[in-house]
Amino acid sequence: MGSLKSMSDRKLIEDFIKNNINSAYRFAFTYTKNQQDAEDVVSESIIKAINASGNLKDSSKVKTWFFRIVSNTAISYINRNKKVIPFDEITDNETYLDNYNFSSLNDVIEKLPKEYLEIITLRYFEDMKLKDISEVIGVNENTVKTRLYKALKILKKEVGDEYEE
Amino acid sequence: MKNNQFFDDLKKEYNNINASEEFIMKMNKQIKKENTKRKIRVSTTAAAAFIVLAGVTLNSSPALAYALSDVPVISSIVNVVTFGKYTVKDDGYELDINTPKIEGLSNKDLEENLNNTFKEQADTVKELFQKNVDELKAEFGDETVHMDIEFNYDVKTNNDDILALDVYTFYASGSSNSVHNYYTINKKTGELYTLKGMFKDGADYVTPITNYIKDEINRRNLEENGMYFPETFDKIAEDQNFYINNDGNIVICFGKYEIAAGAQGTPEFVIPNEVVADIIK
Repeated sequence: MGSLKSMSDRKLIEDFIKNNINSAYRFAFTYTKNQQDAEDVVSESIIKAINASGNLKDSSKVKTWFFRIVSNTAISYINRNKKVIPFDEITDNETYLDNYNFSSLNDVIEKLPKEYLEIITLRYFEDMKLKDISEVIGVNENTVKTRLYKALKILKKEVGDEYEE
Repeated sequence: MKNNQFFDDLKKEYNNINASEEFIMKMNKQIKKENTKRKIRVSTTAAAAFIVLAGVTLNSSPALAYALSDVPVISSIVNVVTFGKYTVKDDGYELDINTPKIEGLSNKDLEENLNNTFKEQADTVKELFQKNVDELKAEFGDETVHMDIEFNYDVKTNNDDILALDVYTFYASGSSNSVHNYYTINKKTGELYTLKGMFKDGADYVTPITNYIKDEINRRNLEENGMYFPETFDKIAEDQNFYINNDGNIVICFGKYEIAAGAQGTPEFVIPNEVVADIIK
C-alpha cells in the first residue's frame, strides 16, 4: 500500500526540488553544456521525480535519488538528441586529453569526458561521498574510485587521500 | 590536499551557474501543476477510501432535492446541534467525529432525511478510519504514522430565511485534504436549494458565474498573490458546491487543490447579485 508514506515523501521531494532547482540545473548543465537543453532536462526530471515519488525508498537519500533522475534524464536526452559528440570518441583520444590544459570550469565541462566529469562534479562541487556518487551514477564504489583517480590524473591534480572516507 | 584551491575555485565558478529567474518560476508552477494533477489521480488506498466517502455523500444528495413543500410559513426556531461526538486516539491515529443534527425545521421529512444522511456519513468515516488504521498497522507495525480524520460541520448561515451548513471530512497524513458538502435550506418554505433550482428554467447560469470566477481568479492572482491555476479551471459544474450567505448571495465553493495551490485552502467566491440578476428566480 504505502499510501501515507508516499504522501509525506512527495512533500519532501517537492520541497527538496523547490529549494534545489539551481543545483539540478547546474548538474544538468555539465551534461548538456547549454542552457536550453539543461532547462529541458531539469523540467523533465521534475515531472519524473514527482510522479515517481513512491520509488524513493529512503527519505534521507532524496538528494542522491533526485540527482540520479537528473543524470539518467540528461544521458537519455543527449542520446535522443545527439547534439553532443559521443564521449567515447573523446575518451579514445587519450593523447589529446593528456596534452590539454584544464584551467577553468569551462575547460573541465567542455573537455572532460562525461564519466569523469560527473564524478568530479559530485565529489568536489556537490561534496558527495563516494558511496552516494556510486548511487547517483549507478556504478559500484570501486569503479567510482578508479574513475576519480583517472579524472584527477587527466586534470593533473593530486589531492592526496582527501576523497578516501 | 595539494590542490584544494583548484577545486575550490572551480566550485565557486560552478555555483555561479544559475538558472534564470524566469525558469525557476516556471518550474515552481510546473511543480504545482504536477501536484494538482496527481491529487486528482491518486489511487492509493487511503485516498481511494476517501473518494468512496465523497461518493457516499454525493449519491445521497440527489434524493434530497426537495420540491417546494406546502408547509405553512411559520417562523420556527431552527437550530443545529452536535448529535454525535466520537473520538478515537490510537498512537498517531486520530479520529474526531461531530455529527450535526438539525432541529426545528418545518419540513420534518427533509429534517429527518438530512439528519439520517449526516449519521450515515459519520458511520462511513468511522469505518474508513478503522480500515485505514488496520492497513497502516499491517504495513508499518509499531512505526509511528500520523493520520488524522475529522468529520465536522460549520454553520455558514443561520438567519430568518436561510440555514446553510458545510458538512466536511478533513483528512491529514503527510498532506491534507477535505471533502465538503453544503446544504442550504430555505427555512420558510422547507426547501433544500439546488444550484440549478435557484435559476429560471433553462437559464444558463454556468456561463456568467464561470466568467465572474475567472475574472476573480485573475484579480486575486494579480492583486493578492493568489495561488490559483487559471488553466485548471474550465467552468463550474451544474451542481457545483455552493451555499447562500447571510447577505443572500450565492457563494461558489471549490475543493482543496481543485483550482489552486493547497495553501489557498478551499476557495470560495461570493457571486455579486448583478452577475445573476437577470436569471435568478
